[in-house]
Amino acid sequence: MFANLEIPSLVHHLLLALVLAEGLCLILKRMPLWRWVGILKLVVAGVGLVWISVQGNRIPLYGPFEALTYLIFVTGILGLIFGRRDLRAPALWSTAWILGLFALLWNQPMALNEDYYMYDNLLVLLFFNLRILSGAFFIHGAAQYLAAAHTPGKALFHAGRNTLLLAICIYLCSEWTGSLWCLNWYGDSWHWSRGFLKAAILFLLTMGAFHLPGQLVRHRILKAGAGVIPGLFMVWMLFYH
Amino acid sequence: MFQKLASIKLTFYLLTALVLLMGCGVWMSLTLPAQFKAMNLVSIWEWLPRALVEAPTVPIWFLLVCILAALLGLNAFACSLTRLWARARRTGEARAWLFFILHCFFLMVLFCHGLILFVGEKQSNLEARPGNRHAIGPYAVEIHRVVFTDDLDLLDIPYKQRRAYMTRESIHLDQNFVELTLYKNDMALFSKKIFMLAPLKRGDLQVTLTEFLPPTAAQSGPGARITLTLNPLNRIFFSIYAAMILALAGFTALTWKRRHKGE
Repeated sequence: MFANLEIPSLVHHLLLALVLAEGLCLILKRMPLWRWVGILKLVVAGVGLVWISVQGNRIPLYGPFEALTYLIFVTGILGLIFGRRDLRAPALWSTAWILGLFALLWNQPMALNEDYYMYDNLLVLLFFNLRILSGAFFIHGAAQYLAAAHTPGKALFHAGRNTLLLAICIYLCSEWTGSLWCLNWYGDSWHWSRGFLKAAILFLLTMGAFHLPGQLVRHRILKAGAGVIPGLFMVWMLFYH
Repeated sequence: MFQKLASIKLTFYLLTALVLLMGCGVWMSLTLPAQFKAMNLVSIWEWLPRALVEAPTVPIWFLLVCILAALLGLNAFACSLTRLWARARRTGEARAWLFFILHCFFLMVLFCHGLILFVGEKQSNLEARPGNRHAIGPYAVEIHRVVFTDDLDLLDIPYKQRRAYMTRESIHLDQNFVELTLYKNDMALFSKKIFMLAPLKRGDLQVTLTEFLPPTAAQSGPGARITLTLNPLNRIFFSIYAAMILALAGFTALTWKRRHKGE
């Protein structure tokens, strides 16, 4: 009981403090310090993920604690890799997203998910894990789109478009394994249920962001909005499904 | 007409309409769960005419989804043929060709996804106890043994409450199975054990073990439920789907760097 409740809570609060510190560094434009806080955040999130893997004897799958820690870890890495040029605006938005998630999950219990007998199956693990991984890309892409809305030039829009494309690639890999899991479980690759319909909605929303008519593409706010919507929907799917 | 059908504006409107329709589906799956469940039990071909008469809301929604998806397919086909193919031929660039190929794969996935719903046969939730025999198409299965080595009391817990008790420690996927013999045109082919998440696959046939059942008054041992499906498109669907993801990844890599005007 102690292991299941205390360590997730500690990791969660440490991460919250570090994300707040990151936000403060960004607002005060202390970029070298921001980088160090970001690295420390990655270490804490990494420790959390190792704890999940050892304690649960599996990779992180879903749920407030597991998904949030994983999202913070991956978006942190993405920020370090892709945030070299003009990094402040997307980093600010990314931090705002993560703080939004903390607020959203404020009263949720932070603990390891209950075990399930299917968690030994590779398809099940890949389906859930790749879904959170894609979620991190959707969030990072959404932050880039939000920053692009008020940053002159097209570079950030292109960066957001690249991240969104990577997100949908990973998401489709997750859905592919999920369909195979469904085939082995129910005998069909498609199941008429809200889970499958929501999964299809996310795909359609992402396709919508890449198929905007001319007059919408020229409108910076609308174009950014179209890139943000899949990220918002993904958050809803990850934490409210 | 063909040019209008190929327009990106139409793509956007169709995608928006499909999102709204799928949203309605999510809502209906909560308000009409029994009707949604019925869609999964047999092939759509069997379900649709019956459901249209008995409770038409979900079938009408389903037909609207099919119509919009077909229009999206037509739109993608027209766009691929008139614009993407022409651009790929004109420029000869790898990224233009990959963009065209990506759309072709999407069309194939969409087509195959639609077809998979209508083609083949399905029989769900068949009771599998020793001696039971079930047939589908030219195939039949005869159940010999149902082995459940874990605590049988778990199977008596109502389905929705069962989740918390079914851990990796309490349920062992590799030790619980149904042993059956497969027949084709009344000729025994082979006997095999099927496990949960490890169905029997032979050609177009799949025999899936979906759950275990508690003993009954008539049968002292546990039983199981199996689903028989006959679908020739599953392998093709998963292959094209994978190819589409690879094409998308390739397109992302090739277009990673932003092109500036004049390049």
